[in-house]
Amino acid sequence: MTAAAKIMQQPGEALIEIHDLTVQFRTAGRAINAVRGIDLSIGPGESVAILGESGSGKSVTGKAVMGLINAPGKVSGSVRFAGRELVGLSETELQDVRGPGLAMVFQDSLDALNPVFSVGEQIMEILMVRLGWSREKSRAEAISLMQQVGIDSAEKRLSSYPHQFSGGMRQRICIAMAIALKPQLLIADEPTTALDVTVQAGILKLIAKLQRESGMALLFVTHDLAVARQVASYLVVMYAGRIVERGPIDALYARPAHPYTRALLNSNPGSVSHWSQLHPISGNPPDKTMVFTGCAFADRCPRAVSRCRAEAPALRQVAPGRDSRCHFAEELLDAH
Amino acid sequence: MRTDGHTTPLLQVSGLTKHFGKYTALDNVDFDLAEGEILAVVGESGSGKSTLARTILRLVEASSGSVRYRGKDLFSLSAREMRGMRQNLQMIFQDPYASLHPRRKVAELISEPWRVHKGVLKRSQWGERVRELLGQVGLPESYANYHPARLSGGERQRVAIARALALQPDLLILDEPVSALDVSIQAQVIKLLMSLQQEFGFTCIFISHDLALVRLLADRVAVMYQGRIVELEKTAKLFAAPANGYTRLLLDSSPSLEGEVAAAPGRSSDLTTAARSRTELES
Repeated sequence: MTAAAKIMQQPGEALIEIHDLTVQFRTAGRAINAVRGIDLSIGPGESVAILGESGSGKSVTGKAVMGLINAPGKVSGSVRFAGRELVGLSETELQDVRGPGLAMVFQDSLDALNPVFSVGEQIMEILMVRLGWSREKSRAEAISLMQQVGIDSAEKRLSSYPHQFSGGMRQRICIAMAIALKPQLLIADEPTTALDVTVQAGILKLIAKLQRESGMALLFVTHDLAVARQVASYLVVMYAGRIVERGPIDALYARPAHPYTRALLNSNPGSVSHWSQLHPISGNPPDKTMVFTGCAFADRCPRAVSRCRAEAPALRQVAPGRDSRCHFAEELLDAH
Repeated sequence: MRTDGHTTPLLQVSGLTKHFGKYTALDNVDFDLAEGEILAVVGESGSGKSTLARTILRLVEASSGSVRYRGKDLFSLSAREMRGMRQNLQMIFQDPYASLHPRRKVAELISEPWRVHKGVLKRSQWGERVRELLGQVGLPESYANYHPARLSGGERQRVAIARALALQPDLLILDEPVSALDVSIQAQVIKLLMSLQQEFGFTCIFISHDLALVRLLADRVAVMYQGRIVELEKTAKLFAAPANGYTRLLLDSSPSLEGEVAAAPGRSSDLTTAARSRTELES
């Protein structure tokens, strides 16, 4: 049995426990339901990927965990981190948790860094402010952090500004800042999506290495099935603001228990040898204002029957360590 | 699909070079394209692949070199002659949100080429031809009266394809046509493009950073690095036995569904260790 599955069954061991998390944005009288009720536990040192398309709620979930949802966004439900409830904490209280508890790396590294300070200053500031370290000590640690994330001649590059680095190097600096306070959980939101594939390979390798060496847990948000496979051992698939399937990534790719996961795999170029063998998913991802009585995927699902439109399936265990939100998950599993 | 000595290639690119100031975006690029061939151009950002497309179509002027279309030197044409020539050479861009005018209806967007290339199609036939094109790209006829804002990304790209096909071009240049689309939509648009290519037989330059994708559809692949083609080879051979070091690096860097990229030295070892430590954690 996997660590993930064990943790699902013994929530007491979890580093972070998310329960019935919802995020709603109300604008111009319309309710936009970005996240519609997520339950998820992550254990210490575990690597979890959240996979979804745009609008699935995967990024909003990561931001909600970090307490980064601003008005008019409304977060409800519970996020317990190391036994402490995060939902409803003030910004000051959250700042205590961020850094040594939770840290985040974003897709756009240029936006995440301050253009008018050298990267060294920005890394050192974290250590001086949060740990009360001296300049000298912080400087030495900043150099060490830059070396850990694979930046050559770190001492010389300490005084360089963000724009003097390539996109990949900037993302490495963001990672250095995120791990500066040795977080227990790193949330990475599409950290390689804006990067070239050869650069992406280096960043994924770096994240896997840091996670392995430091024992921090990882929540990796991505739209890319192959990228998820590189960094995570446990996969959570999101669709229309909900988890539709989760389980150990190898088992899930070998035998998906939800038609959406299966369809994603069948429409992935990496799984066939000629374009005519691709099986596209029909239709479009649903609008976030939509309200579903039945299954949110029913309109695009090749297996959908009337029950799917009438009765919303619950996320339930369908095999050891495997959860699916499909009425016919067992049939899907047996069909493989 | 390679050209033999007897027929003129559809497109002959030779010595194509483009400088932006001191920067060389394209450096002495040569290749021929046979009629009906699909050539993929792959490379990372800054490799020159988009500049190549734009230079061929004279959306930017080359610094030196030549492009011959059916033997005719495109760079010797006047601006007016070149506009006429574009009837045969069409391009589809990455971002369907940027390439479609938001204030035009779908019918106007698709018929725009006939407004530019007068005499191609009688005005009385526009409506019928728009409906036909919408059908070919898998959109309902009712979409003719929609503005792009009502369409999803995938539907917009279908409109862009219909517009590109409106002039029945011989050569279609596709610049990352699906990379702005959602993963579940990409396969739809690829299947559509390729079945249209099979039906109409147009020649294709398919620009992409996605090796897994070009492997499924290209006859040949050109790998670009720093403005140069470093390898140009039949698709199967390039993937089976890449001759160039950079091609190998690109192939090794591409993540796969199988997890570690087996052939990637220095990379798989680390990830294998990662997998092992996970196994320890899980046992």
